[in-house]
Amino acid sequence: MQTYKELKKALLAAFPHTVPVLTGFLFLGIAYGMYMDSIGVGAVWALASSLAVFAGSAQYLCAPFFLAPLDWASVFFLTLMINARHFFYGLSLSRQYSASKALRPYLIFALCDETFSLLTSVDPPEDVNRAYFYFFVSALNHFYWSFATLLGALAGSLASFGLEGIEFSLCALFVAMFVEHLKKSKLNCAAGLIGASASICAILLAGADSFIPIAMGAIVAFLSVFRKQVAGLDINLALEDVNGNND
Amino acid sequence: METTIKYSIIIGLAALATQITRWAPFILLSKAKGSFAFLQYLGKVVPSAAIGLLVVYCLRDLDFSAQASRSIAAATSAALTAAIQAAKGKTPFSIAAGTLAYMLLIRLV
Repeated sequence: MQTYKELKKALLAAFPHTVPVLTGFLFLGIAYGMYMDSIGVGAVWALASSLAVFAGSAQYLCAPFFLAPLDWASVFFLTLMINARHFFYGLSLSRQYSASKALRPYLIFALCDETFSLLTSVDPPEDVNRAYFYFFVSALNHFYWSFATLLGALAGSLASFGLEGIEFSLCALFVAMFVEHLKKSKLNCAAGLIGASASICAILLAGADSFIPIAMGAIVAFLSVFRKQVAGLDINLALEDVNGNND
Repeated sequence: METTIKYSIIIGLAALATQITRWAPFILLSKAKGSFAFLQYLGKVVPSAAIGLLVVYCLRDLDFSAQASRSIAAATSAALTAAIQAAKGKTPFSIAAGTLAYMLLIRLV
């Protein structure tokens, strides 16, 4: 009974934060489902893809491969490349996630862009079980995406809902979270600006389709080389360096 | 039958590649020893840097060269979202305002 109450409390705390994801995923998921249906792949496969892969841009990228002769290497390596950014998410959330033993495998399985940006930017209220909160943010987002995919695939050619553009809510979510990071502290502000400028440089260098691994490499390289200067912006990190934890 | 196998392989491979990118850092971190201070440092700065990457990633198709009204709408709405968030700090409000602005702009511009 106690667990049930805690679960309910965590769900109620998590849901409001996921509303922007709901609106964005509803539109993009429906669009993905419709697209999969229109190329003749069908609702069951579209749903299976959203449940098992749960990475929107990779799923869009892989859609044409359903029609062509099997090209397993392209599917595998394109997905690996576009999803390489997930590597940063695990790096950021490993400590937060280590607290929730039983739920951890699912949290890692379903760690998407939106869940990452929410969980690194908002804290659950003190009296809410953190592991449950993380779980519901992840599971709600996973559910929205899969449900919307199915909806779109079944609605078929029921073309426009008149809601074109609502997918921008995901972009707006990232922009708002970005501003929160810039406001949080000098350290976060510097890191955020480094991340954004390195990514812009990578796009100018490599083009919008394959900039992610380059941007990530540049970010890690820059943060490593200028560690002293960046860490110096944070009093705790700077003190650790002075104390000789310099490895 | 053949399509069933092909579809399963495609979804399976996409899922596998995605899971590799999601699990790798957790597995590597559990094995990493000795560089604790550096990892702690990365753990503090990488989230903000990654959000910066995400913002660029979702605006990556912006095109200012031609008369790309979508790009103008996206850039304007993103700037509006950022401005409201910076001023008020109320996330749902800034997201709603930015999204509505975008929906309006792509219909009007």
